Amino acid sequence: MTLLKVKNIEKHYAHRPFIFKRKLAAPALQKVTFSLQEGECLGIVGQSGSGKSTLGRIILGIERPTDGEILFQGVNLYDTTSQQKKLIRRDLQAVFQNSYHSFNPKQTIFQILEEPLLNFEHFSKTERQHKVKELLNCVELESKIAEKYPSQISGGQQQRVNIARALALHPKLIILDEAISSLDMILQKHIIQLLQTLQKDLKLAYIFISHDLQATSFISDRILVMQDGQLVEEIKKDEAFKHPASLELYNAILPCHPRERTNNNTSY
Amino acid sequence: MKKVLEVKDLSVKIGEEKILTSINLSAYQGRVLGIIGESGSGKTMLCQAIMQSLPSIAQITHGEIFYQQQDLLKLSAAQLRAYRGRHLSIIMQNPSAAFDHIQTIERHFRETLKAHFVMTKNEIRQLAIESMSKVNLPNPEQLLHYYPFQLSGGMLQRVMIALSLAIQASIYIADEPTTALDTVNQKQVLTLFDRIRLETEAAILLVTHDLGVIAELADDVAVMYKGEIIEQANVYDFFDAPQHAYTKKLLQSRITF
Repeated sequence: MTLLKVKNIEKHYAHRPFIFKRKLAAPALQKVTFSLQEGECLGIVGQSGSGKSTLGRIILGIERPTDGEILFQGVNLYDTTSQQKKLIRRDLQAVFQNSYHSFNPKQTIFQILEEPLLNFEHFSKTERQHKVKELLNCVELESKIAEKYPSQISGGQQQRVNIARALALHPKLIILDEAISSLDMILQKHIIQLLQTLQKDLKLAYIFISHDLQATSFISDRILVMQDGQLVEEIKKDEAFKHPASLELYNAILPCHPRERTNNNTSY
Repeated sequence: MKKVLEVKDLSVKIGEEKILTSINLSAYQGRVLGIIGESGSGKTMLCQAIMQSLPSIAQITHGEIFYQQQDLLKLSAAQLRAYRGRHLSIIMQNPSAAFDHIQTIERHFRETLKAHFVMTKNEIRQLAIESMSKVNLPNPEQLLHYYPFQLSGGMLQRVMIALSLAIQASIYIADEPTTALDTVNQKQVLTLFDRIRLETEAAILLVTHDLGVIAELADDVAVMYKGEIIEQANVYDFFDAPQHAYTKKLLQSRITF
């Protein structure tokens, strides 16, 4: 079943917001159209500035598109009552690159994870405690971490708390915007595997936004390549890249072994 | 091979906590020494110890750092300034935090070069343009008038490298130089480092958490774990015959498709 439909999204930022002159700059997004099935993992790749994050933010409702519509389970995100919007918010969660900045530093991990439950569920205190424990367990964190503050835990742990928070309300779609880019390799692999397990167990759909083609190909069923605000190519798993923008990303993948170096002019 | 930098038995402590424990390293002319380790393994602390820009709570308790024949730890602050930024140059992870956003690129070149050389404005301008075109920056003349916030992360990182090129540093300490860049820019910056070490014969200390970066550029690899160097090897041996259990785990973490 189709979970999300993105239709002809356009986004322009006013170049110089000067009182008399309002020039339109090059559009950040141009006629972006795609759809997402339930339980699917869609990768969106592109260089910095290609508009992938803007697209993610528009789907999340953080920014309004200049034109176009977004249908989440058939409901237009930008033409609906606030009541319905609240319900959509529940099914639509996000994990961003900088996990520390998406926490309130004055809240403990327990309070951070409890917040979505307080907003949407009518749980008693013990139920919430139980649920938080369950969530931490789900992302393979010890439950005693709940008493700590975000600044007291490592980046990898923070990112896992972020994922746990996104999972708290059993959403249907999680947007992962460069969610693993800032982590070191052992953690990256760990979190990717965690995301894959969770996807299977909870029938989640992901939109995985990244500039790293390698990680994206690893997790995604389908990849969209963006360049200058446009979708330039759609690739299914294991298909070859054709568009120059995709090839540029593909060629920038670093080798697995020094033998495969591309600019190898060092002799041994 | 000429040894340009040698770290001998270096230990650093913050309070009672050991941050670095007996580090031994050598960097050679024209070679790239990759230092790999996870976050919190002490990679950045090592760079800061070499540059002697450690936070004030950290103390070097033991060890020597030789640049050619000179022990940098025995120098006074004023003597050290003649080395730091002149022979040893550091390239940091976040280029936009390393620049002063209210100064033009030209002012940055002027400030750096005036600190070490006697040069006229015109000479500095020429040298700046020359080194910026060496790092493949488009329109270097125009770029001089730009402010750092007007440039992208990848461009700024290249300006940073151009600065080091202009002072003809003999050691580049690159602390996660490509982590904040996208993959296409990352590749460009790594290619640039490769060219620099061939053309200028500088030694490059490349600190990273990314095995791909090591595979692309390093000649030798040192693996850091919890403040210690647990393994040092030629890059081929590192990939083909890892010795330490942690190194093996690290190599298995690579995402492939």
